[in-house]
Amino acid sequence: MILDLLNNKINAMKKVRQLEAIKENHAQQVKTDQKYHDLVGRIAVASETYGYAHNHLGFLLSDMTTQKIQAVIVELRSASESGYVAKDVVDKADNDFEAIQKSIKGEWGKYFRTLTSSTTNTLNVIKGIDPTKIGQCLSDIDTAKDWPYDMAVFITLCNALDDANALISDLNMDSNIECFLEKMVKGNASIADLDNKVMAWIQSEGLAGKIKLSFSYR
Amino acid sequence: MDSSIARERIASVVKPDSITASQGDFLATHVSLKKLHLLNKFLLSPDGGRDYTEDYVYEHFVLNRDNRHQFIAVYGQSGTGKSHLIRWFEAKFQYDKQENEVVLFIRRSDNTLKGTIRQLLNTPEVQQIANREIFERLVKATVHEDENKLKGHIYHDLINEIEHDDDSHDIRLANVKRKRLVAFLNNDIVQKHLMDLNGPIERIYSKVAENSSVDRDTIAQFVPEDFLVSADWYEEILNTGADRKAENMARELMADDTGMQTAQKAAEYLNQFVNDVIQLCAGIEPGDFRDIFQDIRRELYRIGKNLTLFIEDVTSFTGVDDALLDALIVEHTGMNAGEHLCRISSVVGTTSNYLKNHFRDNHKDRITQYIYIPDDVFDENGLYEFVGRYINAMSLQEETINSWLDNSHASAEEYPIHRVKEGACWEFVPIQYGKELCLYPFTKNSIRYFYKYSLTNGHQTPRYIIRDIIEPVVNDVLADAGSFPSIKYTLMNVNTTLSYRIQSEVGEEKADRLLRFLTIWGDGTPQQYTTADGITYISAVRAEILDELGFPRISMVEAAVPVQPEQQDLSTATTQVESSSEQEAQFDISTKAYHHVDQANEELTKWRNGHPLDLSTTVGVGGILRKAQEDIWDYLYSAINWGTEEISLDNISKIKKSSMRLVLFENQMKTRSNGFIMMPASWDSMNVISAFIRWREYGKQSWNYPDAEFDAYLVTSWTARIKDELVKAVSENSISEANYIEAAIAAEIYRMILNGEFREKSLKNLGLEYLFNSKSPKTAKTNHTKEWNSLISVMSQKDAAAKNRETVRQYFNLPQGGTSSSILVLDAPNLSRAFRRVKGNRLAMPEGAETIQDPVKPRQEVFSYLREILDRVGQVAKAELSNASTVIQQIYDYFDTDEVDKDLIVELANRVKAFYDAINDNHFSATYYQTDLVRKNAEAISKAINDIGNILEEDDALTIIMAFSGDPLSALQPLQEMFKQLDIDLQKIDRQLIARKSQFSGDAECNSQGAQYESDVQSLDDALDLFGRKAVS
Amino acid sequence: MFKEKMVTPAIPERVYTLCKMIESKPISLSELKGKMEPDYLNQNSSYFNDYRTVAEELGLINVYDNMAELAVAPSVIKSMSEMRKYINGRLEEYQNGPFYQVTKAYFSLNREVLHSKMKNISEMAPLINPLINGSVDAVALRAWRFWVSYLGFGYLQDMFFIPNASVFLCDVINTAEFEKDRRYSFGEFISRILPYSGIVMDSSLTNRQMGYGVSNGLRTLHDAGIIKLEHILDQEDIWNLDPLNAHSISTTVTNITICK
Repeated sequence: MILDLLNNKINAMKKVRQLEAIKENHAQQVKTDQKYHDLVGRIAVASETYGYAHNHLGFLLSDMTTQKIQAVIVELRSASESGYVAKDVVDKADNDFEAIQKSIKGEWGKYFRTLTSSTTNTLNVIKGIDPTKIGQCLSDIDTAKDWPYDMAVFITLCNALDDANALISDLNMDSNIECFLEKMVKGNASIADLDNKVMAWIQSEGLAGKIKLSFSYR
Repeated sequence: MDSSIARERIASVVKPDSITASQGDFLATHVSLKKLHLLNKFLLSPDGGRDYTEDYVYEHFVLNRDNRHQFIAVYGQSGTGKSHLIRWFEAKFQYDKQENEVVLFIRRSDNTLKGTIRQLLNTPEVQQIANREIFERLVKATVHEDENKLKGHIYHDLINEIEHDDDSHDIRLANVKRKRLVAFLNNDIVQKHLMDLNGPIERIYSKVAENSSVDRDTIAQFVPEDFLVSADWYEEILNTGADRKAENMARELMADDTGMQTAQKAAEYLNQFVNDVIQLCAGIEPGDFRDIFQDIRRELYRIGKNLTLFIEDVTSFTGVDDALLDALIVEHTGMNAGEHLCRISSVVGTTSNYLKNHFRDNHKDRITQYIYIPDDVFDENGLYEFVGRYINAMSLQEETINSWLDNSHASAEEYPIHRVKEGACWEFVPIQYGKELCLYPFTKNSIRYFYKYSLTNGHQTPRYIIRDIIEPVVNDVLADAGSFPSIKYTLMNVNTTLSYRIQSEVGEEKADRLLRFLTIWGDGTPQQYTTADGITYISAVRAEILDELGFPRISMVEAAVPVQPEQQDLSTATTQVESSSEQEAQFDISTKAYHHVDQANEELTKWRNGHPLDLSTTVGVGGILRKAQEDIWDYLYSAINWGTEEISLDNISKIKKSSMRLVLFENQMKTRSNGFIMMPASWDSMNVISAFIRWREYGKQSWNYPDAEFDAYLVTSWTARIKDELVKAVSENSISEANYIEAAIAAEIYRMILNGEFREKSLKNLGLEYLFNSKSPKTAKTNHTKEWNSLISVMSQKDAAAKNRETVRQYFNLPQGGTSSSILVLDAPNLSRAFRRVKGNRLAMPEGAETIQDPVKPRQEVFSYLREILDRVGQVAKAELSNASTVIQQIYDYFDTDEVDKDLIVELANRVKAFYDAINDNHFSATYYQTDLVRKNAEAISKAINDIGNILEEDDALTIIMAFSGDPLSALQPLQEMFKQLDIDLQKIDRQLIARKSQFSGDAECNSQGAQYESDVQSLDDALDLFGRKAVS
Repeated sequence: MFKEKMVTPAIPERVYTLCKMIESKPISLSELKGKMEPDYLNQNSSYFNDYRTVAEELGLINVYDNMAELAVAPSVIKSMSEMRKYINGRLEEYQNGPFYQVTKAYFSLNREVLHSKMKNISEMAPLINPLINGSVDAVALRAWRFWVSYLGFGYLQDMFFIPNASVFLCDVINTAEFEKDRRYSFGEFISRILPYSGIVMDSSLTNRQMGYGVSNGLRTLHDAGIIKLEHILDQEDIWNLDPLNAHSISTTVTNITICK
């Protein structure tokens, strides 16, 4: 079929021309290649981080962002097929990736809050119990707030969350205690909330000195 | 006449040369001459002056009572009766002469030198002469010599004389010219011509040798005409390889401007040697004759006698005449008295011309008396008497005449008249002493007629009257009175009415004879009258005569008895036919016209009697008849209303252009034409043909001449009779049912298809307007096969296509009279019918046309033209189809499909454009190809591809050529060209690709194409994998 | 032509063709013209009205509302000779028309036409005009020739016309319905054909003299055996043909028999 034949020839010509052009401007190519490598590296990091967040933290990107990132990846992949990555392709992918990263950040921000808020709250309630330890835990969690490009941060987050949970569970709190603690953090707890179990738990954990009373003006 | 005697006697009586008849017959037939002229000085043809009778001349001169020296010349035109008169003088003189008078009579005999010498030798006077030497020579001169040998002698002696011309003659030739003349004469062809029977050598020979058969009044000399070289003659001379000198001479003699002059000079020059040559051949010397006569005169003087010499014709002495005359002019008295010569009185006959040219001036001066005999020596009665005397003489026994001669010395009073056995009721002519001569088998009318018409000018002399009138007519009646007159004379001034009446009343076999008899023997009018004494005359011939000759009685128009016409002089006499109506004078018909009509009628009469007619010449009688035939054609073309006879005028114009004639004459020689109808060799046809001749000759192409009413009737009633037959024959359907116009239309449609003027795929849409479209066919370049193009060029050979087109256009034209090039009104019903039939037959050859052999070539050509097309159109279709299928297959191959629509073509165009753009953009080298043409014509191209695709399986030639009429391959041309260029450019690009790629071979980067990205790709693949994860598993 | 002016385009063939076109059904004038003088001929002038007028004059067609229909039986236009017979049977209706007038004048000139020194009929107007009502010119005479020859009054020789009315007389004899092979007195014969043949005969006929063109016609028919002319001696009804001494019927005739 003549149409196909023509297409092939058109492409072949283009390719030859490209090769030639590349050959004509090697330095430019090196730069482009570097940028390509960098970009691929960043994408690889992003993907690994995402993979970690996904696997360990249950983070899932929206479909749209997923498609965008996939498109960029496919383009970059095919860009290398000719043997020479075209600068414009890399530049474009780079831009696209920047935008995608913003989207990822946004999506992560939202997810992060839902992921960490109850733990952080609890920790803040019980901060007094062991301010050093809990303070450390809270600060570890907070580092991952802004989509870190570092697996370590995620690992730290993951550990901090694990530690926090361990801390909380070591307090042996049942649900009444938890409810009391929550009210306390909110400033709603009253004497009336101090039942025996709570008093017993406060006593057993040596927390009585750490709880102050005040009047409510409501 | 008494035929029983005449039968025996005619041969001896009817002798044109007086000398050969017996004395008795001679005198019995002698009619006295009454119109002699006497002159003292030579005049070639004297006018006016007194007429003298022969008796007067005899008494006053010939008898010579005063005993003077005389030299009398009797002259006149040939045949006027000079020798007759001299002989009559001599006969009379013999009775009246003095005792001491010796009469020497040199007769004309056979009028040759040898004969004359022999006569001289026989006279006692010559036998007694003393000079034996001369005598011996004369004897030797008469020795017989072989004809051809003698002629050869004459010829070569002549050349010899020229070669040795010592310039002693008056006319001289420069040496060069003389040599040329000799060379010319030595040429075989020239010699053959000059020695021809009508040539000069024969004439000279005839004057030398005995028993020659040439006209006695011939003069032995050259005439300029002998040397006029015709083109044929010249050709002949060249072909036989003539001497260059002879050739030059011949060329000079042939030239228009110099020929006659040179010929004249040659004749005059040669004539100077004729006498010498004759003498040489005869072996005598110039002086011999003078000496003989001197001797005779001396001898006579010695015995006291005088000499009277009668020489019938001085040309008998050709060659020695000069010497003879020298002897005769010598007087016996005066300074010659001492010579002792006797007195001489000579009467010498000579023709006017001979006297004029051959008598030296000093001889003419010494002639003592000239006697001139005019041509028309007889008056009308003299003529009748002349004929009557011959009839009488031959009807008398020789003894009767001899006894008249002996007993009464031929006195007129005693002149015997025969007893009339035949012809008692015929006409008689009165002579002296109350005697009457019966003219049977002549009438006065017939004698006048013959005299006027049978004798050409200058031949109206006694000799020819005898030879051409009396002898043949008498022999004719003697042979068989029952079929008399049987000789088919040329009939002059035949009266049409008489002729037609005879035809309608008398059977064919006698009609000719009767017409001849009434025209010549009668007065040629269609009238009859009865005199008071009850004698009926038909055309002025007594009815009894007609009975006697076995003619049926026929009725003529009654007329009044004519008043006896007065005696007329023959010179002014006209026949009654000619003067029959005063009317005729006003019509101004020339004698030439009469002559033409007469000649033609004679020829037509012969034709009617079984002779062929030769109309191949344009001159003479053939020319007259040919013109008549053409006039008949022209007349019939206009007289028959072809259009209203439902014959297309195109058919008529085709016939006019063909070799077919509307009519031809039966038994017409040398014609390559054929006639639709044949005019049989009959009276009927002859009447019509001669009516047309009179129309042209008398009426100068009108019917304005006497009796034209009848001719116009003959012609129109003949037209009415033949019209249906002619129309039928002319109609094309007389040959076959097949009509040439259908073939013409079919061929024209083929032409339009082949020329792309009609481009529909079906004949259904072919309208009449196509046939009349006057636009000339385009000659644009097409993409047809050579078979197609060669058929077109075959069709236009010899204008065949144009002619056929004109046939189609003209056939149904209804023009106003004759043919017209513009077409105004159509015979629409017949046009549509023919057109429908042709279309219905799908342009096939009309049925029955295959075997047609139309003698009208332009009609046959129409069929041949279509045949030629039909014979080739199959091949053309095949070639066209196979060519197209190759092309279309290629196109299919390019597209890998046989469904090529407009969109595909546009897409292709775009792609090709992209291809060339890419070539540009990527720095490849190939000329940019504009695809606009293909894009713009995508619709037409796809249609053409489709059209061709649709007929690939077709096998009907007409359908195929109609499909190709629009030249679809031309529509494909842009596409094909694009493909062609594309093929070239693709190859070019391939080569360039290979070349340009090769610079990357061995290049690591290139070899490990993409190696530096391997990890990247891996990373990307991993990333893709990671990002591709959906819900938490 | 027969009523109105004689014009050259109105030739018999065109009149006949026009009739043939409407033989089976009436056709509008414009369609007729479009077929006989189609536009594709690219002619500037039209002659249609000229011959259409003649067809109407002769009663061959009728025109209503621009539709032409055949006004005679189809057998009349079976052929051109049938149409001729039809026309010859009713020429007397057009006594005042130019064709009739000119023909009658031409025939009354007798043999003079042969001797007039004019070889072209179109020059003969001076000869004809004194003899007719109105006048004709060269063009009219040229137009006349087509019909006079078609109708069988004689034969054209180029542009000269030789009178011989044999075909016309034959038509008229047929129309007059004579009994075959019966000997009629010539007077009766004349009185029977006169209603149709006044165009070539003087209706008074007091001199009992036939003119040249009629005599030619009668002699032609006699010679062709279609009629037999006789002079029977004891008959008193003696008529004269134009004298032609050469012909067996040179002048007088008393009886006639129609043979075919």
